Amino acid sequence: MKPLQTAQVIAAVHHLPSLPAVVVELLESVDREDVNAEALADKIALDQALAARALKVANSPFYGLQSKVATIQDATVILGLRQVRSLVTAAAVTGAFSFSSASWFDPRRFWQHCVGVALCARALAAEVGLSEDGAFTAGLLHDIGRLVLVTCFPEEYRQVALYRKKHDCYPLTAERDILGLDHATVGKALAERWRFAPAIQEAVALHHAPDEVTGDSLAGIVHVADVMAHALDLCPRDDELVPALSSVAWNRLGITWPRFKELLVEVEDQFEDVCAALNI
Amino acid sequence: MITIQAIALEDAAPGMILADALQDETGQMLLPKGSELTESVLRSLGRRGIETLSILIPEAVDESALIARREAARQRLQHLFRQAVDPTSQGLLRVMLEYREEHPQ
Repeated sequence: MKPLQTAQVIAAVHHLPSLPAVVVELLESVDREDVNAEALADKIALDQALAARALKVANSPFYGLQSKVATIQDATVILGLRQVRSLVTAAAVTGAFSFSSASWFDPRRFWQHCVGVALCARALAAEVGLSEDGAFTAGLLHDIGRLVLVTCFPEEYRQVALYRKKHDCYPLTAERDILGLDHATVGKALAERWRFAPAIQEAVALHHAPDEVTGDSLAGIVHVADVMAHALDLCPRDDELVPALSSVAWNRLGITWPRFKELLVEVEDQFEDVCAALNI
Repeated sequence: MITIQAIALEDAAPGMILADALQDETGQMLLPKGSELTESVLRSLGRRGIETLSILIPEAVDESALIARREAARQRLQHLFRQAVDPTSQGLLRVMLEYREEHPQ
């Protein structure tokens, strides 16, 4: 198969439908504190489909609210802006890619893995004092490039899947061998196009190369979260592989193994409820 | 794990434990919850027209099934980590093996 050209992929990314304006704003502002909660809630409420989906999530058992919230404004007051921001983002991005048509690709399984990584990333971020909200969103979006490839180049990506099966290799290796580029590169292009916050862009681009980033990066958190979600076997499949854990990224977190095991319990407890809340 | 099961009086045997207080049709308490059944108690319940009892059934601990489940979990983890053979990943595998002993899937 002929390798894909970066320009070809960028052109495809530009042909994808754009996200609702309010979601673009949410993804842009994910690591900013100076956001006007009321103004943002008003904007979310204007997108009725999105608001309805977000309210369904807010009223799911996962949040355990005493009484139902009826409006996004109420949800912001009761759950707080950060929570609403990540649940609206989750509702929007899991809904935005419903146009993938490849029959062999299961979008539910894809999003379930992303939710698993998002929960792991949030738990890790809380431990090291990084933005839990940003980590959740970065985890949710980390493999978005794979979705672009499946959506825009279904035949090429089917070859990747066959190659991976034949060689029992990591998907990343199969992508590079067959396509000449990988989902992290493609994800980076989409993250720029959709104007994700810089920290999220970095996490999407470098979650498989966490040694290249410095300090408190979401890329490192998402890398460890990805390994964690695979090791928990949240979406079991026969050819499942746990990625190699970067010692640099792991040591940087400074989390002890006993504490890590407690985080595993936390994630396993939440996983099914969150998937159910997002209807995936 | 303990489950509660309703059984017919003729299937009841000495040594079983009542899951609920037992009353006759007039509402009079015959035996409190948690009573252990004996031969004489069972005979007297028959005379009083009791037909069914609700009793506690402790679930048998099946050692061999438990061992088989642990072995399956261990093999699954080793399968998942088959390409992650560097020391850091193998450290994580050891932790995951301990974790699955404590928290079966």
